[in-house]
Amino acid sequence: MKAFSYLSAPDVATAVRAIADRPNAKFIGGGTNLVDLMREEIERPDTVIDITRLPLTEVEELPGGGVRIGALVRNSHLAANRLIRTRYPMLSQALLSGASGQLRNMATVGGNLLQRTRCLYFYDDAAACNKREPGSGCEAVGGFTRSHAVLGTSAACIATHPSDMCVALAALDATVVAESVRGERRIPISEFHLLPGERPDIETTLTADELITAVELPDVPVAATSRYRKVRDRASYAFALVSVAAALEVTGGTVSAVRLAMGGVAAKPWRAREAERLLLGGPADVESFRRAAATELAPAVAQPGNAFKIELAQRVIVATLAQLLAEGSAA
Amino acid sequence: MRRLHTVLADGERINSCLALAVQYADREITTIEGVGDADRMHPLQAAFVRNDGFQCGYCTSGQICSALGMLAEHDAGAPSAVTEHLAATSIELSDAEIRERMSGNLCRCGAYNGIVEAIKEGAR
Repeated sequence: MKAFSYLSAPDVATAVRAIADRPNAKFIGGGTNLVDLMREEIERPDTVIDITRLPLTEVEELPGGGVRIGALVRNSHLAANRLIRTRYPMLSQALLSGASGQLRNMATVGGNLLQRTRCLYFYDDAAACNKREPGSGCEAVGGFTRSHAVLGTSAACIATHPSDMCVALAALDATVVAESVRGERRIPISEFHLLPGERPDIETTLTADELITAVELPDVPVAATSRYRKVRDRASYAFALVSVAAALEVTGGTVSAVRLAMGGVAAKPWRAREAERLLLGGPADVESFRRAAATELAPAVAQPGNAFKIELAQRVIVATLAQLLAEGSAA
Repeated sequence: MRRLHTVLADGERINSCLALAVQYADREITTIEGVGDADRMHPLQAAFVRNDGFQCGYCTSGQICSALGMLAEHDAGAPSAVTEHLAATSIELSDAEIRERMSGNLCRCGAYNGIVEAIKEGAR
């Protein structure tokens, strides 16, 4: 590991001033991804600024029905929060399906948003990787691609975003609140993560000197009947091959509200807007779910190693919506 | 291969290999040495011995620290990925719940059945 200096920020103003003054500094929260990447020398900051003592650990109801989540709320605490469990169960389930109990106790909401891909070629410094070394090429293409993306890829990169939490946040239209010496900025989750294009090393629209201070969830009544379903190579403690966050409300046999997002298929949490558009106002039945899923996956481009994901993603969408439909009719 | 060792920070289980010590300067850290020793075993340690919750012993300190943290989380009402009713206030600690909640600790000898039995006994 490269030597680095450490400082601890007592408040937000000090933290954003400290990073603005240092060219190669990183904030550190739970450290579950950054420490690992520093050991591998994929991240090589000169300074880490510890933000774990900042007062950003509350989950509060907002006037108007939304919820504000402090950026330092631990993943385990957010998953267990009563408001989240009852009003946004897909978010609790997404958090609980990620990592392990130990890691969820360390990992923060802000850090989860900034997780980096677990692409094997990104981690292997002997391999070419445009995300790690812009312009060096991509050895994942033509390589072992079981975990890789099928939507929104480019010739430069086919890595996936590893987060479960972010898939639920995408379905819920969350807003990321960021602070810098220039003031506060609010970023819709759909504009937070970037597709790779020519520059897979640029993963988010957050600037290097901005600190995530909170995530806000709007009031989403349909989210009370929602689920997160994760499909992976073992039952627990593994990244998603495909995951789906879905919320469904049916009125008189017709879809009256729907939210749908996918994980494990793209460099960003994939909001399935095309499928939502087709489903809304249509009949709530498996045939319609199948058509919507097929339309969403129509632009998918696979490698030999991950072609199964195109069919798998459709089946998981259909199964998750069908489960919500069955639970809704039973209620 | 790096050792993912579980320790307790103010009673919460974490992975020490991903923790910078300086970040935990004001937290109380408990390792297996603080749980009990051969003369004064913690009831959960005794349950691991009685139920063959290990073979080579490499993962045991982590399994026991993790189980202590896990039981505290369960006592506080925390759900898991296999919890059927997320909104429930009381969640039965079934075998499936134990296996899911302990999935961050691997045992290459495959002593899982004994580990689950030991934790069930230790939870009583």
